[in-house]
Amino acid sequence: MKKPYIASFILGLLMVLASVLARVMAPSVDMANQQDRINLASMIPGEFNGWKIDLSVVSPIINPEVKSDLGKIYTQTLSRTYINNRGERVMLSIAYGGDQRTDLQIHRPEVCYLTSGFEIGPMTKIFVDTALGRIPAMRLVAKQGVRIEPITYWIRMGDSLTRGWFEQKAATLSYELSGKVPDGLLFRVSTISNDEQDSYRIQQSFLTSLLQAVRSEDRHWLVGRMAPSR
Amino acid sequence: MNNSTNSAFFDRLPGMKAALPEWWPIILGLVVLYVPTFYDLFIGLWATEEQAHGPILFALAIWLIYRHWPLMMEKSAGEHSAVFGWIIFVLALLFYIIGRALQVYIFEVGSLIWMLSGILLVKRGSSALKVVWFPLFFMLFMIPLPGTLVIMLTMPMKMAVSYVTEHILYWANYPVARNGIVLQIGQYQLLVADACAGLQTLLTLEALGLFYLNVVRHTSALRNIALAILIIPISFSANVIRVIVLTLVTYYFGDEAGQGFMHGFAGIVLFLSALILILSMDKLLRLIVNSRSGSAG
Repeated sequence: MKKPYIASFILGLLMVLASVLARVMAPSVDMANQQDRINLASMIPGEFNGWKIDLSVVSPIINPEVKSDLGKIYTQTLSRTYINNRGERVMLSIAYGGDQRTDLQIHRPEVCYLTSGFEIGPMTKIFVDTALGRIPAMRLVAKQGVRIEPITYWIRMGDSLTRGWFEQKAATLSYELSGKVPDGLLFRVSTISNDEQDSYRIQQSFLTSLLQAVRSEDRHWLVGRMAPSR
Repeated sequence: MNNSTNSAFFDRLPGMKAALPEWWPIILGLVVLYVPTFYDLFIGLWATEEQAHGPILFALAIWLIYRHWPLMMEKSAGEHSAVFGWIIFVLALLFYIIGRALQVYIFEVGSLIWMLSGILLVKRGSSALKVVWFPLFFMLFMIPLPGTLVIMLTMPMKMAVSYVTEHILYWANYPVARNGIVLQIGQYQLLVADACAGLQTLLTLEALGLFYLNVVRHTSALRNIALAILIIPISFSANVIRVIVLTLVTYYFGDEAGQGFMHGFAGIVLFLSALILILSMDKLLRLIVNSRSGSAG
């Protein structure tokens, strides 16, 4: 055989081998394919430890365009406002997404609020102390005009809890490299108030009560299976 | 026009047949690698409104390669294969495997450029690459950008568009105020959406502009470079014009008219204003270039 023919043959063969290799290396999607087993609305109780759903507030105003976008990204979302007997209100927002690769990835609140016209203050990584253990979370304050909204959130990727872009990416990548596609869940609570410290105190007591009220076999959906130690 | 391209295509058929025994393994390899990639793009990302320019740029890139091919074969006849082509080729394979397995488009689609460069270097040597550099460069524009990068670039662009819109309307005595990327005009509040930032518009216009310049082949380098650079402010102005028109439609005819306009007519306004701006810039540049060469001669 002549030399150019050999070169062509090797090039072609290597390309076919690469295509096979890419297919073998692609992670399987088993972990992410469980959206039919989650039901946020029934998992999160409507009333617990002095908190109940505030029916006077029709869930925080979302404009229809944003809503249709949310449907594309998340398989399930839950958005409720709770009120306690002292009249303190907490907005709870949970979004569950299956396959956490590329464009289906959970959007971090600092990005969502920014693209919705809010200004975002500095973010701090903290641990929320709950009766179930210390939960890693992120705190930030969003502002739009006179509306000041302190936020606490975490994002569960597979079984790890992440805060911010880097931790989220690192968790996804380490799952992918071990051959799994993680699912993801955004857990966010916020209050509208200009007293930051007071807001965080209310949010913490809300979180603790809520996590205790959720049935123990359902908790892993919210905080992952590697339950934070006491 | 159509006839001549058709007959040119049929004229080239025998040559293609003669090349087949040597090239079929490469064609097979490319098909096995990239048909799944582009199939995924066509039913996924490229089917969305924001990325609708993807297929157009893809088709133009293929046409450009087809167009440059005979010249490339002629220029590179008898040339020795470049050994570093193998290195680029293997790198391209690695990019492809990582990109495909982990769904990173910038690696997966980007690998096509490296792959083709590597193959041409191995098969036809470095003079081949000199002929087809433009089609390969053009392919950069069809790589979908990673979402995080888009968000990072989009935000400041939205701020800038909102800022300029506010100032122009304020200067024209409209009751307008701005809070970040939220514009308030009269009783209406408008959120400057991601599409208004014009990142995709900018990239598409830049790609089409370069395509135009390459096909027309202006002789003046000054005019080519100046126009390519001017496309950036032109695309920005076109976006500001779109947002201003949208704001005024909402102000005079209400929210519903504004929303209807946004999904129907605003895109046309954008491209028309961009086209008019580009053509008038081109005309202006031609006058400048002509007067310079006139005074020199």
